Parts: sequence; structure tokens; C-alpha cells
Amino acid sequence: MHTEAALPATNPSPPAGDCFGLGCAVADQALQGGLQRGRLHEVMGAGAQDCAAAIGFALLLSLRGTKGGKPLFWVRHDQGERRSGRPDPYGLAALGIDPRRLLIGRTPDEKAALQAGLDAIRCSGLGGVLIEIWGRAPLTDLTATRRLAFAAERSGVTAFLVRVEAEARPSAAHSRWDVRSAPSAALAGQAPGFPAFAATLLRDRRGLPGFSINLEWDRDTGCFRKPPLSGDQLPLPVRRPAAAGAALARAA
Amino acid sequence: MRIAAVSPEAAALGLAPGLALADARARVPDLDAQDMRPDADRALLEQIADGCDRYTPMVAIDGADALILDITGCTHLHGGEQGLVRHLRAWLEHPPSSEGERGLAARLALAETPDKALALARFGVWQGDVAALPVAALAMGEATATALRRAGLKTIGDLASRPRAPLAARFGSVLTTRLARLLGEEDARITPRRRPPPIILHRRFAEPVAHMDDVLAALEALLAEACAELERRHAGGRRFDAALFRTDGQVRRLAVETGQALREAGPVMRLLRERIETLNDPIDPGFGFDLLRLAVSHLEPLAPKAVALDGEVARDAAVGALIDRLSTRLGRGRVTRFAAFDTHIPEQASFERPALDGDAHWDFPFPASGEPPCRPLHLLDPPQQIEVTAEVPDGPPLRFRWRQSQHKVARSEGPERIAAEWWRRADGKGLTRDYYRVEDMDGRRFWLFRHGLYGAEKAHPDWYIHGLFA
Repeated sequence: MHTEAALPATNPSPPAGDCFGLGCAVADQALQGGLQRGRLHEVMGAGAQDCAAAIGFALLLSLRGTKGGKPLFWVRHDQGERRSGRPDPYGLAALGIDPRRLLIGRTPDEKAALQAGLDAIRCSGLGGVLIEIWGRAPLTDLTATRRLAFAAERSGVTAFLVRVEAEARPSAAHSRWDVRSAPSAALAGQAPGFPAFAATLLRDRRGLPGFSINLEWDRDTGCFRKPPLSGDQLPLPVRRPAAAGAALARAA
Repeated sequence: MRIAAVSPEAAALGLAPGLALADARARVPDLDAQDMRPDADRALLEQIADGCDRYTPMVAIDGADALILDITGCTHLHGGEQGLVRHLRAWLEHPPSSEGERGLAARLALAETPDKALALARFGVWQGDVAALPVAALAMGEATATALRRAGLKTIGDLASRPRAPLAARFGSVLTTRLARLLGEEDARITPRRRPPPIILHRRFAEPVAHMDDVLAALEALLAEACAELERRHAGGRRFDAALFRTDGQVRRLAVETGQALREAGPVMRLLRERIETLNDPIDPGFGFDLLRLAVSHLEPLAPKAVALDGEVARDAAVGALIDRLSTRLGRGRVTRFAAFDTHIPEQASFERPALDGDAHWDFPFPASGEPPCRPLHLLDPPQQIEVTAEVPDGPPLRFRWRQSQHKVARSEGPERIAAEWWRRADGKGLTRDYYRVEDMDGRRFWLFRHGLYGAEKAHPDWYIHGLFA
């Protein structure tokens, strides 16, 4: 947890549950220590081409949010399978996620995916649950997400609802992110570098101001970090006190 | 068109299998002829065999028209051999509650060995003497039967009185083996349709029960009994099969599987209810069920449980219960874990096993530190063909077109060359793949490959997209 004395004083009450940080000081500070465990978080991938980024980001967050090697449950429905292919355990291992910890559930449709996800969230033996929903998804509405959010609060399982190719709709999620692929910092010989994400916090139930940040995943330390060549924009809210901005600037 | 089978009435009129239909119609103008449907006959035979499970778990199908029931040790439940045969005959000839349907004409025979019983039944002799049967009862084919008859050996009795060695020399040892089995000198075992489960419990109702709630209550009571038995054996069940026998011979089977051995009635009952809810065609009690059977067909040792102080067992049990429930609802192949396969071909190097089959400890290598991922998060299986522009035919791609959108390559790395597995292929060939990790202008990372070495293997190699990186 990166809590510093210089946190903005105007922000609402501190988080109730325990938090997990992203590992990147700037982002953790903007998130007041990180995302809350035992809540539903929503990750949006705007286009079908961003699915790998959105899913990868959610997987890495649930990896960071899980204590003690508990299994992760990933609910997919067949549409996602058709559009984005199947998960590759070698690729998961390459991101630092032990494929043996992962359980995959495949459902024929959106309704079954939400039901299976709800059952999984209620199971306190899991470390995290990831529900992948594609397209317009009419059933993934406020009622359905509220059900998921309540279940997550009760069981303490951190849940991620990944919505690909969807427009933002009212939801009961604790935070909402928009994630896309970002150009990576090239390695020697113009080789593509480490996984890079352009993440935007769209909203947070704690009332945190939204921000955008470019993050790079470092498998060796299991942390997100700022890319070496900073291409991110951290738009500071207008109302933010000067001290917080200074702290952010120092951390950056 | 020829006649394949005749009813007893037709046989009395002198019709026989093998007769041309036109001849038969000439003899009996108002003949009622039906097309032969071997698949329907087979299905009916299977259905009767299912129903015969109520007499014994050892039921085998022989040929296209016969069932063999091994009733060893089962007869006392039905009032001895004769009682069982009476019950079976009544059940076949007058199926209960089927008003319009006709019963079946069955030839039953009771004997010490399956071969003897079959021969007696096929030749229509009830508990008779095998010696009187014709040599065709050996089922050795027409040529052998004719040869035996020409030698003056007309019945099994004639054959049995001869020394066996010359017979074996003339007709082969198969004949003497069959003869020995037919005479009851050698006992052959039947292969039952299903292996009898280790624990099997029945609940018989005096009156057919048509209410599902009552049926489920009875099933729950059976489960409690089964679990007590499991406890006594220090075992747990991995697979529970319930069979509901309807009075008209229909059998509904419900099976649930669990990832961990279970010994409590509650969770198993929940799974069974889940299974009933997800049935495509709901259970129709019809005229009611008169027999329930519960079998635990897969046992595993399960020591009496002690919960660890940190609640570890409870946590694993919670995940196990989740896997069981979702596997029951979605299907066993839809809740999976990863497994590895020893090959270089990326799409074959991993597969998914049902999570019900338990943990398997496969090793997935973690890449060296400081390296970016060289395998994608999502693998497109099968790879999708794309249009690629490259500077030189055997160089990295410059731009490509996938799903109606152009991607301009900003960075690329490769090739990683993966050869075809010539040692697994009969022709020893196969195209080499050159994989490139590429990133487009928007920062999306893809895994592309060129299929075939330019010039050496293929004049104009195709390009494919195989994966998406995070």
C-alpha cells in the first residue's frame, strides 16, 4: 500500500475493505492505495481488437488481488471463444499467471455465463472470478451486476466483469476501467516490448476522479510499472489541491 | 424384395423368411408386409435390454434378435427361476399400460451356459435337451452344417457321441469349442452391456408413483442408504447413476459426476436436482414409476474426514462443489483445466481436460526473466488466413489485413521457426512455419506466421494470424 501523508484531503472516506495496488506508485496513489478486494470491477474493451488487452489487464489485476495461490475462475461464453480464440496456457505463463491455478468455464450464452459467474463468485474458495461478456449483452444490466456485486461483497471474492465491444451502461460495479493496447517500448532491433496497456479509470464508487495512465506489465516483479518512455497523460482534476499534484509529480 | 421375418400366423400359412414378396402375395393376397428397419429393431432390443436391468445387471445383446441374461444369484428376488421366467414372459407379452401396443412374441430358454440357452431359444425348445437340436445350432455357417449332415451327423447328440479330435482336424477347433459350450462342458462368460456398479440399491413401489416430488424423496432416502454404505467402506462416490423405471418399460437415467469423492447425501441430491432442471426433455412420469435404482458406479477411497485448523479442507471442498455443480449444469467438457502435450506445434501443445478429472500437475515453462512474452494470450485455433504485404518474400510483414481492417506493422520480431513434425507424419513432410511477433501502429500485438519456406517449400507461402498478445 502506498499511502502518503500528502493524499488529497477533499477525497471521500477511505476504503472500507482491504485494497490491492497495481504496483505502480503513481496509479496506486491516484487510486488511494489500489482497488478494493471483494468487489465487482468492470473492465471495458471498446473494440473486438482490444479484447486481449482488456482480458489480460483483468487477469493481471485478479492475479495481484489474490492471496495465497487460490484458484482463479474464468467464465467465457461461446461467442468470445469464436471471436478471440482459446486461452493459451503458455501465453498465461508468459504473463506470470500459473495456468494450473486457472479454471475455465464455458457457457453457451450470456445468461448462463452470468449465472455461472454468480455461482463462482459465491464460492469463497476462489481467489478471483473473471466473467467475459461480448457484444451488446442485454442481460448484463444494473440488476445482474448488482447481484454479482452483492455476492462478491458477501464472499470476499474479487470479481472482474470484462465487457468487450460494449458501450457503457449503468452497472453496480465498484470501479469501471477502459483498457486498450498501448504501443510498447521497443526492445533492441525494433522488437515489440513488454505488454503495455492504456488504462482509463472511468468511475469509482469511492468518488475518485478518473484518470488515464499507460502501464507496462513486469512479469519478473509481478507489478505494473510506468513504461520507460513516458507516453501517458495523467490529467489531474481541476479541483485537486496542489500538494497532491506535487506528490504525483515526485512519484512520477 | 424378400421376406426377412414372419409372424407365427404367417408361418402357419406356409410363409418363411427368404421367400420372394411377390410369391408370398400370390399365395396370401391380403398379406400385411412392413419394410424391414434394422435400426428400429436394434433400438427396440436395446430398450428391452434396458428394461431387463430390473432382473439382473448382467444383460448382453447377442446378434440382432437375442438377449442373454445372467441370472445367477438373482432368481430368489422373483420367486425362483420359474417365477422370473413367468414374470419376464408376462412383461414382454403384455406390457403394462400400453393399450394400443401389441406385446412381443418371445422365445425364452433357461440353461446353464449362455450358448446352450441361446441355441435352445433360437430353435424354440424350452428347457429341452440339446442333443435333439440340429447341427445348425452350432452357428458355424451353412457350409459346415451341410458337410456335417452329409457325414450323417444330423443332431448335436450325434456329434457329442463322436471323438473330438477327428472333428477338430476336419472342421477346426472352433467347432469343438462351440460344441463343448453348447453341451455345458465349458462355461463362457457373457460380456454385460454395463459393468455392474459396486453399490446398487433398489426401491420398489407397490403402486406406480407418478409424482416427481415423491420420486425424489424416495431417491434421497436411497442416497442416504448409499452414503451409509460408502461410509462403512471408507469410500466416496465419484459417479452416481439413478435409473427411474416406468411401468411401460421406459427407463430414465440420470447421472452425476463429481470432481472429488463425495459421501454426503445433500450435495449429491443437489447435483441430481440440477441435472433434472437442465434436462432438455423434462421427466414425464406417465403412468408412474414402479422401480428406482441408485448405483454408485465409481468409488474412490475416502478416509474419514478431519478438517484442518486453517479451514483448508473446507476451501478445497467449496471449489470442488462449484466444479461439480457447473459441470453438471454446463456439461463435463465445459469446465476445464489446462493440460500440456509434448509437441512444438503451438495449437497442439496444450489442451483442456475436464476439471472433474482432477488436478494434473503439468509443467508450463515460465520464460526467462527480462523477456517479453513470446506466446500469445489468446490462440486462434485454427489459425486464420490473412493478406500480408512484406518487403521481401521471406522477410517480416509490413502490413496485413485481418477481419476487414488494415494493420500497419510498427515493430516486429522474428522469425521463430517451428518445423512441421515430420517424424509423426507418414509422408515425412509438412510445411515449416516462420512466426513473427508484430505490433501495429495502435499498439496491438499479434502473432503471425508464414506457412512454408519461401522458394524451398512453397512458391508463394500463405500467411496466417495465430494469436493475440495482451
